[in-house]
Amino acid sequence: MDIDLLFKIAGIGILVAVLNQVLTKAGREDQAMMTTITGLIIVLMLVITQISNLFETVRTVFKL
Amino acid sequence: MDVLKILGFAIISVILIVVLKEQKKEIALIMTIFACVILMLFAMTKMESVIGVIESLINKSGINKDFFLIILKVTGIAYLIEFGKNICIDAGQKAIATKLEMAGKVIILTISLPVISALVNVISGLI
Repeated sequence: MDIDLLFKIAGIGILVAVLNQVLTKAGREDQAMMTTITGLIIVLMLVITQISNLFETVRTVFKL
Repeated sequence: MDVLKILGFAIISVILIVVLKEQKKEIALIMTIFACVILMLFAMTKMESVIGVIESLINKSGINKDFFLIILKVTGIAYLIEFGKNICIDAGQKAIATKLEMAGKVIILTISLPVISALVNVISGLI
């Protein structure tokens, strides 16, 4: 039940959303797109370790 | 006591996802996946002890063990397929969800073939 990881992801998401708004207002759409993609990659990295953990647990529990 | 933990976790993650839904759909989707993964992990640790008890019962009773293994595999596959299917539906991809479900059913069918053939042998033996 590590809820702090969830808060971390939400924080990154909100940060990216705000940065996006600021950058689009400043007229730099390409950098806005870049921050979106980097934010997405960071969040994905966090989640992928949990997903592989889940699949490994399911594999051992159900003897797949 | 665990129920409160699960409930709190689910409600908090739902609120955070709704906050993020307008600006960043993709990160909101990743958060739903993350919440589903955490809840399933929680369920898995509980499931492990249940399956251990069932297995010891079956060993004691002397029933054929490999049928139980097939049942275990089928439930595991069903669990995973349902997990993936709901995430695809959440993301709005109904077509992928139905195809995933169909593929899961085919896999379950192939795994349970020995059970079916054993059943047919028993029946033909009776007649």
